[in-house]
Parts: sequence; C-alpha cells; structure tokens
Amino acid sequence: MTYHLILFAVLLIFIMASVMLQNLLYSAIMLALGSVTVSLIMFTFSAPWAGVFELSVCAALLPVLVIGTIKLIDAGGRQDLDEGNEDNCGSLGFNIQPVENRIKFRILPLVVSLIAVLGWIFFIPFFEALSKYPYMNSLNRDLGKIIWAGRSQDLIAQITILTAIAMAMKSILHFSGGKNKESKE
Amino acid sequence: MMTSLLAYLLIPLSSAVIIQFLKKNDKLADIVSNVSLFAGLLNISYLIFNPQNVRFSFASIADNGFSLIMVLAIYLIAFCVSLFSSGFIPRTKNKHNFYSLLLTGVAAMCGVVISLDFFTLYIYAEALAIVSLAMICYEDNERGAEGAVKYFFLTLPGSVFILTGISILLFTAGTFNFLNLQSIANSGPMSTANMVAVAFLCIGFLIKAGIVPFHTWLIDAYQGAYSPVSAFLGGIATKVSGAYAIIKIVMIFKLFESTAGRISEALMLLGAITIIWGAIAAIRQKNFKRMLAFSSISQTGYIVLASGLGTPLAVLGAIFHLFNQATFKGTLFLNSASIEKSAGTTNMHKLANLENSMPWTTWTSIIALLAAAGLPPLSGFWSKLVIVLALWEEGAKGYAFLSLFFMLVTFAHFAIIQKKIFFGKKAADGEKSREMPVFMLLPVVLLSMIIILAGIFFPHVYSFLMQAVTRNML
Amino acid sequence: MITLFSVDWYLISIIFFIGLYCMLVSRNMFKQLLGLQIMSKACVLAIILCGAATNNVNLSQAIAITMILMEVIAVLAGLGLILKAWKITGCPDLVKLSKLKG
Repeated sequence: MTYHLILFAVLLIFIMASVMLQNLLYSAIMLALGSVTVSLIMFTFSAPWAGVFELSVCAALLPVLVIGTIKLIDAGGRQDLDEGNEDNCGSLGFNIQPVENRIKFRILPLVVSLIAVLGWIFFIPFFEALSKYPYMNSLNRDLGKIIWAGRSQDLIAQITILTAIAMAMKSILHFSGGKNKESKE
Repeated sequence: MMTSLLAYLLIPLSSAVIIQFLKKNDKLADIVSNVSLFAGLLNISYLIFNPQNVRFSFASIADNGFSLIMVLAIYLIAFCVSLFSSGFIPRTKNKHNFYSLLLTGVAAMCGVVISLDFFTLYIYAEALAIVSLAMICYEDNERGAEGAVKYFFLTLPGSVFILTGISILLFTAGTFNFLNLQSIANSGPMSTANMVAVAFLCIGFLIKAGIVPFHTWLIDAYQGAYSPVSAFLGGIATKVSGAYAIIKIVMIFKLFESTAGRISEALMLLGAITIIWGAIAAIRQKNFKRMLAFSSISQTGYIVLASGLGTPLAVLGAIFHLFNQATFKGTLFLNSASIEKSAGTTNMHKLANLENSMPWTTWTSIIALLAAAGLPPLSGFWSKLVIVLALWEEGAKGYAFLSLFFMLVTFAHFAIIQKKIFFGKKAADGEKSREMPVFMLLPVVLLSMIIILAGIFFPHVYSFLMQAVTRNML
Repeated sequence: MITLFSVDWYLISIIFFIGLYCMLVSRNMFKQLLGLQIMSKACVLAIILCGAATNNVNLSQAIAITMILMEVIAVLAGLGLILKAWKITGCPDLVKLSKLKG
C-alpha cells in the first residue's frame, strides 16, 4: 500500500512538473517519466498487459514523436530567422514558445492544493459510497479470450480508426507545394 | 454490433482503401466513390421501403429501425456530397484523398449507429472526429487550419469525459452493452453512481453535438471548412456523433421515468437555451455559412429538448427531426457551396438577386428553408409538431410555447436570406454568377424531393418510427 | 476509515483536474496536447482501478489497451495538425488563429 501511494505521489510530481516547465522538451520528457510511473501503478493493480502496453507506447513512442515534431518546428523556425523573416510570434524571431503569461503555470501548486482540499471534502464521501456499491459478479475470463471473443466488435472499430488516421495523416500532411513561399515573397 | 448491417461499414471502408491506389485516374475515383455510395443507398432504401414492409406497417424491421433510418440518412447525405464534389473539386486538388476521407467517414458513422456498446460507439466517434478534422483542413489555407485546430482542441476533451463515464459504468454495471444496461435500468430506480456516469456521458456527447455552452468550435469549423465538407459535417457528421448518442442514452436509461429527473431537466434546459441562442445569433450574422451554422445549432436544440423530455412520442419527434435536419441542412450547405463557387463570396451584403441567374439553387434552398421553418406540408413541420405535442402532453407548456415562438424566428431567418441573397436588387457579385452544371444540381434536387415526400407520406413515416421507438423503449 | 479505493479515485481525479487546467489556461498547442494526454492517462488509470476493484481486471485491461491506442492516434492527429498550422501561420499559437469572424 505504501509503495502504491508513493508511486501516485511521484506521478503527481512528474505531471505537475511537465505542466509547469517552460521548456517543451523537458516537459515532454517529464510526461514520459509520468507514463513510466503509470505503467508501474498498473503493475501494482495486477494488470501487466496494460502496463507493458503503456510502457512501450506512451512512454517510448509518444515522446519520440512529440520531440521530433518540436525539433522539426524549431529547426524550421531558425531557418526562417536566418532569412530575416521577422513576421513571427515573440520579439526574438520565431520561438516555439508563444509569449504568454507564466504566472498561470507558476500558481499550479496552489490550484492543485485547492482542488485537493475541496476534493477531500466533496469527493471522498462520494467515492466511499461508490466503494460499497454492490457490483455485478463477473466471469473473470482470460485476456485473450476477452479480446477475441468478447470484444471482437472493437477489432473492426480499431481497423476503422487505423484506416481513418492513415487517410487523415496523408491528407493533413499534404501541402500544396511551394504555395506558401510564394505568398510570403 | 448488428452483424446484419456490417456490410454498410465494410464496403465503404474497402472502397476508401481501393481509391488510394487510383491516384493517377481521378475519373475512376469519382466512379468508385459514387457507385459504392449509390449502391448502398439503393440497398438500404429497398430494405426499408419494399412493398411488403409498407403493407405490414414495418413490423419486421422494428427492432433496429432507428439504426436503419440513420444508415439511410448517412448514405443519402454522403452520396449527395460525393456526387456534388465530383463536379466541385478541381482536378489539381487530390480528389482521391477527399473521397477516401469521405468513405472512411461513412464507415465510421455506420459503425456509430450499428454498435451495441458504449465503448465501441466511442471508438467509432473518435474515428469520425479524426476524419472530420482532416476534412476541415482539406484546403491549404488559414481558415481551414483554424477550423480544424478549434475542432480538435475543443471536442477531444469531450471524448475524455465520455471515457470517464465509461469507466464509472464499468464499475457500477460491469458492462457497456446496451441490452444489459437497459435491463439494469429497468430493474429499479437509478443509483447515484449510475447517474454520475450518465451525466459524464451526456456532457461528452453534448460537447460533440455543439450545444450552447460548448458551441464555439462548431461555428468556426463549419465556416472554415472546405465547402462540400460543411455539408457533410453540418448535415450528418456532428448529428451522428452527438445527437444520436444522446437519443440512444435517453432510450436506454429512460431518464424521464426513473429518479434521474435532474439529468432530464438539465437536458431540456440546455436544449431550450440552445434554441434561443442559436436562433437569435443567426439573425445578426453577415456570412451565409455562419448563419447556417447558428441555425443548425438552434435546430439541434430541438433534438436535445425533445430527447430530454424522453417520452416515446418526444423521442420519435427527435429522431424524425434528426433525419429532416440532415436533409435540409445538407441542401442548404451544398447550395452555399454552389453560391461560393459561382459568385465568389458568401457574404450576404455582396449577394443579391440570385433567383435570375441560379433558379434551381434558389428554389431548392427555399424549399429547405421553409422546411426548416416548419411550413405545413413539408417534413420539418411534422417533426416540430410532434415535438411540441409531446411537450404539451407532458405539461411542459413553457417549453412548448418557446418551441412554437422560435419556429416563427426561424421564419425570420428565411425572410432575411430570401431578401438578401435570392431576391431583391442586383448586385455586382450576383451579376457574374451562373447556374451550376447538372451533376451538382442533382443532389440538391434529390434532397429537396425527399423533404417534400417525407412530409406528404408522413403517416407511413410515423408508423415506421413508432414501431422503432416503442420496441426499443419497452 | 477511508479505504484505499477512494484514495486512489481521489488522486486520479486530481490528475484529471491538472490536465483540464493545463488545457484551459494554455495557449500553446503543444501544452494543450499535453493536457489531453494527462487527462487520458487519468481515464486509463480509472478504468484499471475499476476493473481491479470489481475483480474484472481482464476486461478492463482489454479496454485500457484500446484506450492507449486511441490516445496515440489522437496525439498523432494533433501533431499533424500542429505541423499544418505551423506551415500556414508560422507559429503554434492558438491566438494567432483568429481570422474567422461574423
């Protein structure tokens, strides 16, 4: 139980850090660490398959994609800056970070502690009532059986959504070549 | 999942993949998309309206009647959009990408309406959201990008709320299957935990439907979208991902009968606010597409108001209004695309007297506008009448008066559009406008014929919907 | 006596609110995406917790795996959209995109 709660505390710290940090690279890395903690929490709930999936996908794949995009935009911005294009946000040429009020992020611990106090008063009674709820007894079947037999309709749905994202990325990332540059000149 | 209707999902999905291999040949892509959608449309029409079914007043298809009529609406609008865009989109614009997205969207929408499970419904709704956002920014300009960004960042929190509701349902019921949930809801008064779950689900789907506190994304998305895409979104996509699920929740949990009266009251209040806000804001708009977007919000308000009431008659009205709204908003958005193409603008101050140069566009728009306002022989009148009657029967007389009053305000929209766009003095932009080719007029003519026919044959429609609703709600 | 179950729910709801706050206050699209990811992590944890509490953990694992897939797809679409908006406006700032008006 202590181990479990410590993991939750670590998760909270990582997530708050990822929201509060100004540098987007660091915040992406913090979110990845938080993802690792989430997968550890899943192991303590004796849900190893979901934990492994979370570890391999959310903690490994997503930060790579996000950091790749950030770096791509950063590099592209620098290039624009070299050409003397100052039509960008911020006074220092292109900045990946739009100029915004940092105070909203600095007060996050305050907001979180406020939510925590209010939640302790208002949410805990509800959750206590929920924990005494007479839940339905379930047939705790094998995971593979559930996926293939019980949730087979989800598999068709997943095929649909994978087709959708493939088509969507193909359409979104298709830029009509050179049109933007002409309009800038 | 209703396996008997699975073909309506799989055929467009495979056509979407096939079209990707027809890169070089746009004509062939046109043909594949239109033929597969038209075949589906004929098939579903025969399934519903064959003479035997009509003679026995639709007794054989009553169980999944709601899904069938939604599949019909999806195929109807998608076929019209596809046929329209085969003439609308120029060759240089990668037509095959557009068709693939459209067909994948049709597959996702069919998945939403044939799924028997909240989690499956959520997955399909997510697929539909991704397809819609790719379609909104199909054109490479700032408007489209802005619409897509707003759509993404303001509707995706909605799906997180749906997930929260699903996780509470997993705890309290152990299942998301509609039949099991219905038997749990029938077994006794609803517990607080179930109510919280239903409230989370409702918030999520209301965000996706664009009801008033959450409507900001909808207007920009409709206005910024590539023109045929607005017809697809406004006609069917947002209705399927939002309003359909609300009606389904009401049918399953019977919010009206059980102790969960508060959710039902909240839904009715939100619906009423949406009707008022959408109708009043629509009057003040200068852009035709933006005005249509606000008017569409107001019409969605009627659906939410009726489904919040939750009696069988009100749900019937909501379903019929959903279908009608698909037809008349489809017509109007397609016509706005025609106007944008031929006159070069949708700003209402720059347009006038299109009746001379574009008679077909004008008269189909007028039929659709009159149906939206609720003129008697047309379909929109019957659905609004059913809703008002249901409200009156249950003693919600204030809401009934409000619905009647805002039917009149919708007439005011009609008067404004009629005066500024179709009739009146000649304007510079109206001069050079020309009527669209016949391929682009066919879809709107088809849709306006359906508006008239659904109004004239209302008794048949009523018996079909009554069978569908009573079987589902017992 | 407060059970571990309700403490877990409480902590998960705090995580959910952090994500919501991040989405509400931030103007940067990357930060918005981050808030979305945090919220969906809270949902995945809630699903697993419900399954563990009702002795139904395998069903909840099947759901959670699909949800993680969904999160990846949403983030992919978001990143594609950010790239598109950056190509067009030159800045991942939400406020820059405000041309549409009545």
